[in-house]
Amino acid sequence: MPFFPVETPVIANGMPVRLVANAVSAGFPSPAGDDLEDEIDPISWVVRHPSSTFWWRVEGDCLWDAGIRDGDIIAVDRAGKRRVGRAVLAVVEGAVTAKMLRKRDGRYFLAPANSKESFPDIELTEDSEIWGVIAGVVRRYDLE
Amino acid sequence: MKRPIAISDSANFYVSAERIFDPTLKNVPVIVLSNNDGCAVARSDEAKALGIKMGEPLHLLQDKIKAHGVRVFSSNYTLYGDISRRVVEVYEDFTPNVEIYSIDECFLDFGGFKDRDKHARAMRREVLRRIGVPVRIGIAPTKTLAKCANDIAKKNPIFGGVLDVMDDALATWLLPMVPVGDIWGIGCKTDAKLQKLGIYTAADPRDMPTKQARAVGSVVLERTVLELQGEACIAFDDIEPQRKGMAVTRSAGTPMMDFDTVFQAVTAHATRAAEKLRQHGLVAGTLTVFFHTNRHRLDRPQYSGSRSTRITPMSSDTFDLVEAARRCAQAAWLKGEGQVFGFTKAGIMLADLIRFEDRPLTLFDVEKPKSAALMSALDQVNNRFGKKTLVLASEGMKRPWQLRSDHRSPRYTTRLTDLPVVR
Repeated sequence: MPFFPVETPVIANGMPVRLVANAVSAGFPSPAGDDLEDEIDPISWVVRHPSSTFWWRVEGDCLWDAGIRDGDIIAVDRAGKRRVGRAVLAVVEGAVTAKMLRKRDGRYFLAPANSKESFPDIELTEDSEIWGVIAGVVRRYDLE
Repeated sequence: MKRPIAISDSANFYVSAERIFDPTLKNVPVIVLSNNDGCAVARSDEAKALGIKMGEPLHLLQDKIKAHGVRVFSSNYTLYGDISRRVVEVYEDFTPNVEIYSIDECFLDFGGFKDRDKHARAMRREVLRRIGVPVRIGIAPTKTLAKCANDIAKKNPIFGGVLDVMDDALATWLLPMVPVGDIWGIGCKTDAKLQKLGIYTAADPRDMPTKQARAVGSVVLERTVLELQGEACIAFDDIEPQRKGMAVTRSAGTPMMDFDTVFQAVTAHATRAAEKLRQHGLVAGTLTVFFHTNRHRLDRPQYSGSRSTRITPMSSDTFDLVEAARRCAQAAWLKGEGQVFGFTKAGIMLADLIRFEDRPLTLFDVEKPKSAALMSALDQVNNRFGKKTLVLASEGMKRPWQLRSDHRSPRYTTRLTDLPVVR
């Protein structure tokens, strides 16, 4: 709260009084005035690290069981932790693929998540690289 | 204690940006072309190894491109700008003071960090991890020395991308590795002059008397010598200087033969300039239009036209600027019958810029109460739905004057329709 110096001090009971100036509304205060909040922004809930998050479009259903379908837009965070069981984007032989990161017998695999169709597991080699971790998915449905 | 300044930049930044989304570009020669696909402005190390030079025209490179499978890209500044912004965001996690020097170079205040080398390596690792762009970092007590350190770090892999020359002895050992022509701020002419005086590397000017430096070159060289001696003359400045003028100019993809086409290009440039003015909260007082034929084609008829006009009252309204540009373009257009010219470049320049709040009010202002609302609506529409969603009709529909960019990669990070695809 700002206060302003006053040329002639106001004296009360022999002591100078500090004057506090603040905007005062003369009308009836809006009952909603104190409750205004920002609009809900689910994207900021998905994107934890804006600078390292990039959006990709998904083609194919190999992550269907993980809730990711053909045509979805996914947020991929390059700074996300590469943990077994997470959905990741990986670069294998020059191509980018979206798969689950799995571990079996001490070896890492890129595995599909689709119980209806079968896709092959790909073993991670020294030449392959995890591009980023899938941070969220955005889907929209037809309205017409 | 001298304050450490770091410069971080990416070697072959445009190529690095292209490589983020296209893994097939890894370990193969890649070049990125200048505006209008004229010449190579960025080359991967593999392309450099093939002997492709900076600025080499595309048409002279066709044989090498075919023989070695060089991947060719038009410049995609939308993508590079976005990647650059993200890199700066990572820097900002490592130092409170970042001065953006160019799209791929930043000066960073490294004062107050105990283990600078470790800090710099952590920063480098984070940029690579979070964005995927490799950067090199040079640290020194002055900007010029930091540039030298960065240069050495780039050329010698043994440094692992980070070189700190705050230590005098290390600087003395390293500076002989930097040719005098590679020093920041030393141009070809000064380079030649210094070579004649027996000054070949960055180590030599350190022993040069400043008076002599001023005699050979100018105040600029004197400043460079002082900076090489470790005395900071170029301030660390994180405040953008107030803009005094601005220009929007482009080469045309195909020569513009008639007034309407030239004016379409001029309208587009004036529209862009007005947008930039509004972004910075400025208004302009003077506008210049120019257009000219290809000066390198002396076998063709040459003409260059330009006119300036005052904009009163000073304005950032697209309609005001385009109207002023139309008057200029018409006045500069060659009258009468006769030769047909092929104009390859058109542009507009704005001068006399001041902040909107400071603009002088004129006595007989024509009231245009809706201008601000209209411009804000225009900017919002173009922001939300993409550039050039709403344009003035005088910009034309076909835009034959537009730049050639036959090999541009998608705008991966800024357009929903251009998102990279994963299968």
